[in-house]
Amino acid sequence: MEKMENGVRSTFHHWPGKTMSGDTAPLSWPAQGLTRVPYTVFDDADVQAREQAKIFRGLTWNYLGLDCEIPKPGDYKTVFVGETPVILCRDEEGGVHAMVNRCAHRGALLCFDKQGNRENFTCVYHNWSYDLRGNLKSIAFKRGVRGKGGMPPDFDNAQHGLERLRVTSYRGIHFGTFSEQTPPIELYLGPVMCRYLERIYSRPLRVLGQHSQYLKNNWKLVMENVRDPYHASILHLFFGSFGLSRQTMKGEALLDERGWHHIVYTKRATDDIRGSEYEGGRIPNMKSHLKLADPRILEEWPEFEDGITNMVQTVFPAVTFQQISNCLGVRHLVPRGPNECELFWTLLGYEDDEPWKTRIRARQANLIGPAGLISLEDGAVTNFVQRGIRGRAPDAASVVELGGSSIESSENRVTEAPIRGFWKGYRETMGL
Amino acid sequence: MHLDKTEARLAIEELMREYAACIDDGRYEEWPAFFTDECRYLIIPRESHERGYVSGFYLCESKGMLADRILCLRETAIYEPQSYRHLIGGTRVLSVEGSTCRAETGFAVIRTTSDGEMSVFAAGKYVDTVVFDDGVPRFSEKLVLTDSTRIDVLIAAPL
Repeated sequence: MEKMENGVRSTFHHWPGKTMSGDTAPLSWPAQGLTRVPYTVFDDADVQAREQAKIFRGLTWNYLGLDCEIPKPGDYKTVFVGETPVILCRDEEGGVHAMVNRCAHRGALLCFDKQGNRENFTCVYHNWSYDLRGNLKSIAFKRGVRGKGGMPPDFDNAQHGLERLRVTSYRGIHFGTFSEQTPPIELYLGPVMCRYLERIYSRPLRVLGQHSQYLKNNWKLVMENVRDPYHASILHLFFGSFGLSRQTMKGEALLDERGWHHIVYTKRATDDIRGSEYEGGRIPNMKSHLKLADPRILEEWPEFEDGITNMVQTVFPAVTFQQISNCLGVRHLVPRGPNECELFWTLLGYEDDEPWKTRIRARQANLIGPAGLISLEDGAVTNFVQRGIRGRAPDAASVVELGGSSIESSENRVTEAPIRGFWKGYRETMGL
Repeated sequence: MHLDKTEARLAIEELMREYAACIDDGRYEEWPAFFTDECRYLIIPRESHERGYVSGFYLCESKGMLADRILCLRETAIYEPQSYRHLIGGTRVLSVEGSTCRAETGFAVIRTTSDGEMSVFAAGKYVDTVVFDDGVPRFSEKLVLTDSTRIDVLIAAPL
């Protein structure tokens, strides 16, 4: 909002075409590089418009959904790529397609429900009808009524299908891209990210819960938060107080070669806090005297041979895959204007889970989400940033210097390297 | 103990009023006492519940877990001060079998935050199983089915 053009404050923020056609960068990045993040990226409408063009419609693979959400031919769900409404569906032969949820006629949403099963997509406005691949199949009154009116004789349905995304699937996870140049998903993710997705997503899954959380902050504050191992045992007192996660436990902060994606994991019960900052209550907000009346909320079973009890993985730009004990899930983030966003949670189990496993997963779901014992604070704190950056000096920026300026993987998690990795991906896609 | 439907309705309406007042007054430590020792409290979108999903926003499976929720709310959760105002609708008794009743009650909750902003935070219905023990009604199950699948930022106190 601070930007001036020829000395006149731009009042056309809501009109992305204005800024995009000129393709001028909406800001210049601080000289310090990835250790500084200009606050302008968190509330500027021009930045947001450029993100839609450069990130969500650019060279990225965007999360669309899971195989288990659309198991049968004709199954579909609606989703968003950035702010663009998208339909993910399965055709009669089992192929998976994604197209923009917008009638090619006059732009109405084709699907206004969240999921279902259909043989075709018909627009309620004027009955333009599309097959499950997005091809326009029929137009109401195409030849007019009693020979009068209708579309011109040379109107070619084949030229007016839905806008398509390229879809790729990795271990039953469907991703879409608007670009022809986005590299194959295995290259995009890199071997380390692939290995950790494979670890959870190689068996048939089942949805255990689905809901969303509306956040009063820019979407990138959520991505910073989820890639931030620094705050986990500080902000989330439950974590430290009940020994779920401490910096002394074995773990790693991993990034792919480009630094765009990340994984942070810990292995509980692998640490000795003697001689560390955790000993003798030297971490002021740790409340290790607290006792749960019914500790079954922490009941778990060792599900993965590698001993990882807590893992959060992001794939640039906006999706997170989590394993908190046995609570598995996907968090898909959708920008809602520069100052708000919506986080869609999908909680998962395996198709062949015994009932006791489902029960434990459901109970552990108390830890995460908008009422989560270790995540409720996240929605509060990201909003604190959004409010804190108001009325700033034009060059104000955050300091992301924990662990230096590297974007390397490391065994210690007292680092902000995964956050710097996000901003590296951001700058590269945004051309900033 | 045998109740007729009207007696059951009056008793449950009374229980609901006390329940709502307890939360709205911020007397959270008293909240678990509205439940039997073995109980189930679940906040879940109505849509998820109808799909047969088991995971919602908030699940407690004993009075101890209810108390733990409050312990964490007081000791470990970090959020800005806020309060609820429950608007409780009329109760419909679905069934009475001996001393166990099933009932539904509509609700809306207005949330007021410390900056003065008020919003309709949640609307939906309670689907309750109420057990009368020595004439004292308590919830053995309380499903809080929210009409929306979306939560505004966070849920701290129970609904």
